[in-house]
Amino acid sequence: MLFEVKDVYYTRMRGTPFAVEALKGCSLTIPEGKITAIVGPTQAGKSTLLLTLLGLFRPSRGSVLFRGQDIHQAPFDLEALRLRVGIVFQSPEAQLFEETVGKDVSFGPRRKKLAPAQSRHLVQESLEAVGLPYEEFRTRYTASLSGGQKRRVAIAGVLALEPEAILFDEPTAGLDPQGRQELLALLQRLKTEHQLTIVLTSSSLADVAMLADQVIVLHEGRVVLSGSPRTVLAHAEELLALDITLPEITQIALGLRSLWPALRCDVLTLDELEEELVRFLPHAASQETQLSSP
Amino acid sequence: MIEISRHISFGQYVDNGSRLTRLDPRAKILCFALAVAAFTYISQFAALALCLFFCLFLQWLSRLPLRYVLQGMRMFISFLVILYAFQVLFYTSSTQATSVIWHWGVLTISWEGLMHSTQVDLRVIFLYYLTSLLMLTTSLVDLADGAEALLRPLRRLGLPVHELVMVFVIALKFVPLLITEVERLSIAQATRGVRFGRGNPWQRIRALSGIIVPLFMSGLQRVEMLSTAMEARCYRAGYRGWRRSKLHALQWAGADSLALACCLLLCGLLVALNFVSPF
Repeated sequence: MLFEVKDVYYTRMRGTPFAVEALKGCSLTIPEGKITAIVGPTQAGKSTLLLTLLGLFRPSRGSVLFRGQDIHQAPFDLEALRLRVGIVFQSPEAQLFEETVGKDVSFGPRRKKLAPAQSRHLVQESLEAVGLPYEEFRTRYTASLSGGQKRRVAIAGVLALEPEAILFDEPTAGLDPQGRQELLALLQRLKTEHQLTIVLTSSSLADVAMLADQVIVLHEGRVVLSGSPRTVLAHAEELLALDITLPEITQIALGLRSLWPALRCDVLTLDELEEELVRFLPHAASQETQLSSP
Repeated sequence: MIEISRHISFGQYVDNGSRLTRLDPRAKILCFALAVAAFTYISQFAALALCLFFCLFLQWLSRLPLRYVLQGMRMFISFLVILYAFQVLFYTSSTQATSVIWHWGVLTISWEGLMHSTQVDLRVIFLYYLTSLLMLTTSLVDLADGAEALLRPLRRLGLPVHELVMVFVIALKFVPLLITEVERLSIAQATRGVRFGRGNPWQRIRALSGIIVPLFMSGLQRVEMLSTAMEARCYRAGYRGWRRSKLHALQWAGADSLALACCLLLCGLLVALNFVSPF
C-alpha cells in the first residue's frame, strides 16, 4: 500500500467563523502502481484529502501512513515525501508561478540542486511526455498559454521531479471533450510507461470508469463506497442520489430498468450493454443474425 | 504557512447577524471616526483603560470569537514589539528631565520613555482593533455606500467622491485576496520542494522572496480581470445628470442614533477623564 488513511478528521479554517469540517472519519487505502479515482460531489472533501495525503494539512485526528510510516511522526521527512509524490491542482493557474515554461518546469530539478545538463534533460523529457515540443515551448511565457497547455505544463513540472506517484485534483474539469480524452490517455500512458501510481479526483464517474482500477466514493468527508469501477457502478442509484455523473452507458442501462427491473447497470461499454439486453430479449439476437446474414 | 488566512482576520467580513453587523454603515463609520479621534487624542492611562472597556464591549456586541480576532492581531503585535524596542531605546524628551534607568552609548532606557512608548503602542493596538472590527462587521458594499453617503457634500467642491471611495474600498478588500494568493503560491511551491518556516532567518527570507514576484504578477492580473468585469457590466461611476441607483437603500434606524449617542458620550468621557486623571 502506498498510502493508508486511518480515520482522519480535518477542519478547514479551524478556529475562525469560516470553519468547515471537510473530513469526518475518512479511511481508505491507495495501492501502488494503480489508478485510484476518488469520486464525490462538490464539498465532499476530495481536494482536502489530497492535500492531507501530502501532509500539507495536518489531520486533527487519525493518521496518514506512507508505505506503513506515519507521515507526521518524527523521523519521517515530509519534504522528501512531497518530492516523491507530486500533485497537479484543479486549475493550472494555481500551480504555475514562474514567467516562462522552461523556468517553471525546471523549478523542481533546480530545487533538488541537479546539474544543469541533467536538469535540462529532465525538463525536455517531461515536456515531451506531456506532448509539448521542448524547443518551441521552453521560452514561451506561461501567461500566454491556453488552458489545456497550462495544465500540461503543470503536469510536466511535476514529472520533472521524477515522482513515484502523482495526485490529480479534477484533471478534466473545464476541458473540452477532446482535451479530456487526450488528458485521460496521458494519465493511462503515465501509468504504463512510467510505472506511476495515479490518484485522481472527479465529480463524475463518466471519465474515470474506464480508466481507474479502483474507485472510492466520498461523501461529506466519509467513504461511502469503494471497489472496482464495476462494483461501484452496481450501486448506480445511490450514486445518482449523491449527484455523481454516471457514464452514458450506465445511464442508458438505468433508464432501461423501468422496462426490465433485473437489468444489470454495472456495464461499461456498448458491447456489454448489448449482451445484457440480448439476455432479456431472446429473439433480438436471432433477428440481428437474420439482418446481417444476407 | 499553508493556511495563513486562518491567522489573519484583517479585511475579512463575517456575516453573523450581530448587532454590529446590522448597524447602518453610516453610523458605524461616524462612530469609528469619532472613536479614532478620541483614542488618538488621549494621553493618560486611566483613559486608555476606558478604551479597553469600550473595546471589550464592542467585542461582546460583535459576537465574534475573541480568539479569532486576537489571532488576527498576532502578526501585527509582533511587528509592534520591534517598534516598541526602538521607541524606548531612542526616546528623547525636549520638555522634561528624564530619569535614566540604563544607558549605553546612544541607547538609553528612561522611565518616561517606557511610559510614553507604552501609551503610544496601546493606542495603536486599540486603533488597529477598531479598524479590523469595522471591516469584520461591515461588507464591502456597505462600507462603500456608507462612506460615499457621508462624503457626498464634498461633491459640491468637485471631488470625485464615488471613485475615491471605490478605490479605497477595493484596496482594503484586496488584503484578504492577496493573502489567499500567498497561500496558493506557498502550497504550489511546497509541493515542489520549497521549505517554508525552516532553517535560519536568511533561508526563510530567501524562501519568501520566491513568492513576491509571482504575487505581484497575479495581483496585477486580478486587477485587470476586475476592471474588465466592471466594464463588461457597464460600470459607470456617474457623470453629469446621471446618478447610480442602489439595490439596498441605506436606512437610519433608532439603534443607529443610539450607537452614535453612546459614541459621543464615550468621547466626551475620554476627553474629560484625560483632563482629570492624574496619570
